[in-house]
Amino acid sequence: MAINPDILEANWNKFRGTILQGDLPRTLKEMVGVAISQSNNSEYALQVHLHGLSALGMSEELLRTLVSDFANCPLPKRDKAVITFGLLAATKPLEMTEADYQNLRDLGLDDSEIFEIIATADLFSFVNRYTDSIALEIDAL
Amino acid sequence: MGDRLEDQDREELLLTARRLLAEAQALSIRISAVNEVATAINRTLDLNQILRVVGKQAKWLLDFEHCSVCLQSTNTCTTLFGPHIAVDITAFPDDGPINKAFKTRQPQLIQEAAANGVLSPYASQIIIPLESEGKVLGTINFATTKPRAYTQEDMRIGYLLALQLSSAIRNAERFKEINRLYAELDAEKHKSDQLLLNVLPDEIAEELKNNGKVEPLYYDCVSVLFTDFKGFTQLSENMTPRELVDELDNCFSYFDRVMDKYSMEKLKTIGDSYMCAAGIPTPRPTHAFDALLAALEIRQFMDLRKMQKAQQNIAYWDIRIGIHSDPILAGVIGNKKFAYDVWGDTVNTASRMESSGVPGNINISHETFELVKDFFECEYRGKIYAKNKGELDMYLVRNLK
Repeated sequence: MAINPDILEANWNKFRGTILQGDLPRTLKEMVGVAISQSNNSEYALQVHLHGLSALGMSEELLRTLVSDFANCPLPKRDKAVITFGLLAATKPLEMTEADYQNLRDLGLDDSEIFEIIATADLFSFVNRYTDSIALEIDAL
Repeated sequence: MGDRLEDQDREELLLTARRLLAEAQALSIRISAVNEVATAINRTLDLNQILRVVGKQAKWLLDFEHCSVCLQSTNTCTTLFGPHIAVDITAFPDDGPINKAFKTRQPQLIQEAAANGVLSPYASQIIIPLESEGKVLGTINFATTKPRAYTQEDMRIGYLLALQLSSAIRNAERFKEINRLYAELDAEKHKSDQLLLNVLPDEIAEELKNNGKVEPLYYDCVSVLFTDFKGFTQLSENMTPRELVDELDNCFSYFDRVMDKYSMEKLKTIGDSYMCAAGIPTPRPTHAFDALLAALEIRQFMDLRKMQKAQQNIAYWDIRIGIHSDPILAGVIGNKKFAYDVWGDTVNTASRMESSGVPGNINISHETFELVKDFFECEYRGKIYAKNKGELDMYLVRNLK
């Protein structure tokens, strides 16, 4: 991306506005990212998220539980609902219904927070496609 | 799955290990989320803003359907999440968990709520005291309708948030207090500045504030004006002291306004005498002209006053005004009861112009006359004896030409 500074700048701004700012905790947004990368089998992105999350205090064990035994994963149910919703928005956006939104509202999320999840899902989907398309090599982290 | 690890087979142990790891990691994630919330609430020193951030972000730390913060300083409870509960905490039941947390300073973990508390619709509750420097500032309350919903881990997470919230609230309250004190300080400073400005000219007050003293300055030529009431002593015998002072106040207040009008400096009053000068602290070539215009206005006012009194058959004072123009020194000396004052023989001569003057008239010296003769009709009186001065040329000012 460094060969096209305009695209680099635009994407950096999008990343900052979506992930580094906003009301949702960064940890939660990274977890949405992990779920999406796992679902997309995007190795590069998964590694990046896992690295990001281990820096934030989270390991692969939890994510494995999250994916394999979602119901028993010891996270607050709101956090789990956000991850489920984000994954749906990234992978099956056409299957989303009003009930999915209502579930989040019932848990106390407002529209701006819900939008933040969708933006996060969109951003990580893009990053997956981008890194996979150019078959980016994984740096030693 | 058995309780003892020794009794479990490899598969079970693997599951147990994985579950425990996941739990530990989940806790660790929640702790890092607490850090994020802490960073967010410490970005502001505004209490409402802090509570807003907690209301929005606490929901990622643990499950609840209700979250509120009670504050001792205002005796109010602010609902941050879920349906609102009563605001006035003084009405909360004494034996309820919130008051218990206040009293015992211990977090309260309620698994099945009694029917009487303000949070009774919620079966599970966590009430954590907000403490700072050994003082309970309030409580943060989490609640959900699901019975037995909360674990010790949930309470620890809540406690971590409470620690951060306590210091943020304390900082916000201190900040508010500091702002209040600054505002008070500003108001007091404004008052003392005004007082100083009332006693001293602006630039002199500024110099005194900045340097703690005022260097006396030499002025080449200024006009010093004295007034005195003839018959003051006799008339004062027929008036109560209060009436006398009220009347003097009435006159001198008018003179003060005349000083403002002609940018003159009032120096002091001594009994029934009023002393002022033109050309200080900022020198100006029109000082004699301004002093005479002021004198004419003062005389006109006194004439009017005398006429009003005459209509009521009350005897009144006649004013004598004397003006002299020459060099002086002006400044503030001493370090108590500051007063802007002038020194020099000019002051004595100006005083003689007044004492050797004619009641109801403005008497000026030759030096002043030379400065204003083109603009004012003046009548030469000849050489008049003045105490300690010998004979001096004096002039009575009639009017503007």
